[in-house]
This record gives sequence, structure tokens and C-alpha cells, in this order.
Amino acid sequence: MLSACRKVELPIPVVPTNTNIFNSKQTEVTDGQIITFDLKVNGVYTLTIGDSVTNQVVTRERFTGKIGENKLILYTKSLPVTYLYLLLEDGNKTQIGKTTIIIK
Amino acid sequence: MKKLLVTFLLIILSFVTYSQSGVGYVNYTSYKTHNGTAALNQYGQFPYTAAEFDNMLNTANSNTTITHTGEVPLATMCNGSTQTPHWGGDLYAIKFEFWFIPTQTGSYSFGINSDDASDLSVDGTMITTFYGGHSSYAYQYGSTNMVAGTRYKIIARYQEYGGGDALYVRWSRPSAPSSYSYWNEEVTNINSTPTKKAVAKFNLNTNLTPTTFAVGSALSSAGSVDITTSLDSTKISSGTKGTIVGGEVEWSYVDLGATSTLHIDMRKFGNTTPSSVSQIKLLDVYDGSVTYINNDGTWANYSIPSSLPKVTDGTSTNNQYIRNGNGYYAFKCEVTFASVMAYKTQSITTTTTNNLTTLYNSIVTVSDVYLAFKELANGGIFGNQSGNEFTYGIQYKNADINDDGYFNEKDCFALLQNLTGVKTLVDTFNLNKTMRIIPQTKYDSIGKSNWTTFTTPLGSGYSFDINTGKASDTINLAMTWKGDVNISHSTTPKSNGITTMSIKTMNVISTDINASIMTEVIADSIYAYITLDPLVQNVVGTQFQLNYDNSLLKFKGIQFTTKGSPTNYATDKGAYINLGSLISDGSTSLDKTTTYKISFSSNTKLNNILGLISIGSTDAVNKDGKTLKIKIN
Repeated sequence: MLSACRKVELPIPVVPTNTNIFNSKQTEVTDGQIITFDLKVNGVYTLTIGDSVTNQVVTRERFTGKIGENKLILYTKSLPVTYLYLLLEDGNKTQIGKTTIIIK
Repeated sequence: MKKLLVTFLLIILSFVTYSQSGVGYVNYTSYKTHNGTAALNQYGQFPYTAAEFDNMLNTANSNTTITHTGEVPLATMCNGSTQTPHWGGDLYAIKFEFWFIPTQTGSYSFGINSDDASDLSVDGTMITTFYGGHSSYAYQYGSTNMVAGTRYKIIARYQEYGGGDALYVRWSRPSAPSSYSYWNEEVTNINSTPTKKAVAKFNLNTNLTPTTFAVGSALSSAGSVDITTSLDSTKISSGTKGTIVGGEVEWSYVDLGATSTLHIDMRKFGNTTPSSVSQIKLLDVYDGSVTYINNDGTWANYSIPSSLPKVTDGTSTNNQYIRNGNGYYAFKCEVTFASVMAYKTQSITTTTTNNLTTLYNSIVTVSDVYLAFKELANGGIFGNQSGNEFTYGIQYKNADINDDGYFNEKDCFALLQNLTGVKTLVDTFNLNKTMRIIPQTKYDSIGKSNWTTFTTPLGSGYSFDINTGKASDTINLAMTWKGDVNISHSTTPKSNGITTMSIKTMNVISTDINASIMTEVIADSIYAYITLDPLVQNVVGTQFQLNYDNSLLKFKGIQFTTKGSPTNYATDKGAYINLGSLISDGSTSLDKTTTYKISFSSNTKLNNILGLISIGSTDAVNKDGKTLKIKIN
């Protein structure tokens, strides 16, 4: 009974890793894929995903980045379109990197 | 000259013999049997089985030869058959073939009576037989179930060895099993199914993707689909047409008026039922529909929707047959009747690959709800549907959510409940409950003051008529949706000058407003923030579809920061949250402090949430009822 009531932990998918995603002009991605990028200073950053066709922003995440290599998981199931751009900005909205991602 | 005349007569004769007259006619093949000499070396005097009859009519037997072929009126066959061309007075046989198209569904009983042997089959199945040598002393019956409008092949045959000769055929219909006769309209000697071509052309709104809809096959990108294979091109009886031509006796007269009354002598009807007559050709003065009134035993009376001006104005080329009887006009004439065959009413069914629940989140949005409220508010205290916010009559139809023929506060409330997630517009989102298919011409004529008089049922099916006299028809159709008040996903009616139509321009997206989204993880909580910047617009309604990955996130709640007293709403639809605000009376507007803070939880420890939450479709409306485009920055 106890076992039946235990909260089930959903596993994080096993995902492929990537080199600095902003070094590529375009990357095909899958749900749960880890994206990698480098930062030069610690601080608050945003990653924005937008529709490459309409230029509409579809989502944006605020996170705390650290110097050096950073890894974040990219989830794609809820994104409304498949041809997107990924934009990295610092707290002053200064662009650090931008690339195209295509959801497979 | 004589030779030419003979040739001419032969040509006419050949037409008389071989022309295909269709309804009310049967084909025949006449045989000389028994070598014409009563020879019995290949078969007996009379057949006693179908196989023996087959053998008797088999021209592989040297004693059997075909002597005549052609067609005769059905009455000839049914009333003795001997008027059918045949060899001699004895030692012959006749096979009649025709196609039977019942006007009723159910059991048909066929009777044959003959001298000598006879039988009758339907689609190869023997229904009744009267084999052997005998006089025509009694009908023999057999019955079979038939479906109205279906084409059946019937063969009736008889043979005569010696003495008297005859074949009689009759049948009864399912509605009156004991009433035997023969009806021309159920018989034809033409073995061809009329064919028609048709294309369904949906004039879809550009917000719909034509290829996601189908009628059998998917629509083209232009909204067309060939529906020829969906047509049932069998013609069925559609009443009787009477033809009145000049003659010697005044069998008919008319009382003139705005609607005239035509009288036809009952003695001219024969087997035709007066009430079945639905069309009349009267000399050269009228050719069209009539309505049966009654018969008084002497005259059958019909109403003609015309004053028949050619009867009196002298322009008829048949004036010699028309007599002014002071108060009536009589016609020296002959009257004949023929069955009118017409294509059945056709129907098509539309399907879609769209998820209608999702699609409806775009069809009925905050703009529709606000526009409905605005129309209602401006409609006057008598609710006389003149709020001047709706441009077309179909908008009232679509806004009449409860389909009671009135657009009122109940409908607005239903729209609001749908928007806020309290109660959906329909219990199940399928085409039968949400979509209307309307002929384009009818759609264009639905006005603001007459919309209640139009019957435009919901449903994926559509019935139409192909009796257009054309080989190919294009069925122009409009598609509209329950609740689509601003007709954002409905066919745009054409401006046709009808006074009940407003010439007001439809909603025009003129100015963008801004919004932005931010998501973040704070401890074990996940947040999404949507903020609004109306710029210069008086925004009274917003709607956002906030997608979320429900395999990892669970919607917890929403915190609204809005000025004024809007109706704020958020409904968890499973994979997205439908959220926004509506100031239905337009008394205030949303400003740039407007923020929606949406909270989620997760069973999994998430370090980041990039892509787990996103904005899908959006909608906004300003105080004037104009739909606004939201630019997400």
C-alpha cells in the first residue's frame, strides 16, 4: 500500500550534449536536450526563444549564469512552432549569442 | 421521287422502332419458335422450367430465330402484349426487358397471366412463373423487396404454341399490397445511369487551412473538392407532367387570376393519378409547376402561379385552340401525361483533421465576447438588434448561442462563460455542433433584420439539388461557426447591396500592442509572467494561450494585477492555460501595469525550464471592438 502511494519521480530524459550552441548558426534539437554555452561573468541572464518567421517571442527564461561553461536543458514539447531562434542576453539586454534552432 | 419518299419513310420508321423513349417503355425481342412449323425436335410444346424456357429462346437452336426487336409502351406489355410485333399467330415467343425503379421501399408483388407459358425475373431471380400450356385464366404472383430509387432489371417473357395468346403483367406497391396496376413512372427501357459532375467550393476564411477539411477527399488549397463520386445520379420519379396540345375537344379550361386555376377533364387521366401531376405544359402559354387542388369527379383542378397573359394578349401561336368563355378560357386540346424523373437530393459530409477543441480557442476569443457585449449594450432597451456593432446578419446567427432566434444577454453570458472556462459553448466540440455550411448566395443574403428567418442548421452534412440542367455543377458554400461573432474564421459575406446589410468595414488590425513573457525557477516553484503594454490602445480584452508541458508541470494558480474591474479568467485546458481579462462594458481599460503571474509546480527537481512554458495564440480587443495584434517582445 505504501509503495502504491509513493510519489513517482519522473525521470529526466537521457539527452545528447552539445558544444557551445551559439558557435553554430543552426542546430537541430530534441526535447530534453542539453545546450551548452560559455559566459564570461557571473550574473542574471535571459534565454529567449522566438519564432523565426513572425519574430514573435514564444518564451523566455531568466536564470543565474556562472563564469565558464553553462548547461541548460531545452524542452520542446510545448513550443508552438519548430523553426525558432535562441537568444542569450545579459541583465542589460545586451546580446551575447544568437542562433537558430530547429525542433526535430 | 417515290424512291426518296420510301427512303424517308423507312428512316422515320427506324426511329419509331429503335428510338429509346425511356420512362414508360419496355424493350422487346420477338422469336419464331418451333421452326414456325410446330417442330418438336429441339424442345417441347411448352416450357415447364426456366431452363426449358431459356432453351426455347436460344437462337443456337435452329428452330428459334429472332424476328423483331424494339420497344413498346409499358401498357402494351401489361394489357395482353399481342400488339407487340411478332411472328405469326402461333409458334412465337416474346421477351420483354426493362429497368424497374421503385418509387417506394418494401415488398413489391408482381403478377403475370398468360397463354401459354410465361415467367418474370428481377435481377436474374425468378419471381413468378406460369409454365406449361394453358389459357390466361389466372394471375400468378410473386413478391420481392425493393428499395426506392434503386434500379432493377426485369425480364418478362411468354410463348405461344397454338390457340389463344396473351401476356398480362401488373404489380402492387408496398403501400397498397392488394392494389394491382402498372405505373409508367417506375419503368424505363434505358439502361443508363445518368451521370453528373459536381465540385464543392468552400469559400473559407483565410484563418482556416482548407486542406484540413475534406469531403471524401481533402479540399484543395483553394477550398475545392471534386464530389462527383459522392453523387447518387439515379433519377427517381418526381411527380407527373401533363402536356396539353391543340386538339378537337375542350378537355381543359382555365380561370384566370393572379394565380390561375386550371381544370382538366378527368377522362383524360387514364392510369395517371391527378394528384401526382406537379408540372403542366399548357399549349405555348405556360410550362412550369402547378399545385394540385382537388378533383370533383369531372375535373381535376390545379393552381398555376401565373396570370397566363398569353391566353388573352393574342401572342399565343395556339389562339385557334383558345376560346373566351366569358369568365373562363377553354382549350380544344389533347392531354398526355408522363412521369417526371429527377435526380435525388444529394448530400455531402464534411470532416476535418483539426482538433476542434483547440481550433475553437482561436475561433471564439475575447474579441468575439467583447463584440457581442458591445452589440448588446448598444442595441437599445428593446433589444432590437440594431447595435450597429455587427456588420452582417450572420454575426447575429453566430452570436445566438442558444439558437432561440434571439440575440440577447443569455447569449453574451454563454460566450463569457466559454471564455472564462465556466461552461463551454457546446458539450462536445465536433463539426455537427459547431459548424454551419450555407450556400454562398443564401449566406450573402442573411441580413441584420431578417437573420431569424434563415434556417441554417449546425452540422457537417449538407444537402443540395443537382437538377440544374447542367452537366457539371459547382456548389459554392460558405462555412461559419457558432460563437464566431467577429467572423474571424467564417466566410466573409459579399457586399450585395441588401439594405439590411451594414456597409461598416469589418474589424481592421490597425495598431499593435505589446506584451512580454518571462519564466523563472525560484526554489521549487516555477513562474511565468505575462505583462501588457497597451501603448495608445484602450484595451478592454486580452486572451493568451499559455502552453505548458503537463508531463513535468502542474498548474497551481494565477495572480492577476489589473486596473479597473475586469473579469479575469484562467482555465486549465490540460496542455495550456486560457487566460486573460475582459471589461465587457468597455467602461475602463487595461494599462501597462497589467500582469499575469502564473504558478506551476513540478514533481521533478528542475534546474531550468527553458521551453516548458510558451505563448501560443493571443487575442486582444479595444474599446471600439477592434481586434488588436499582440506583439510579444
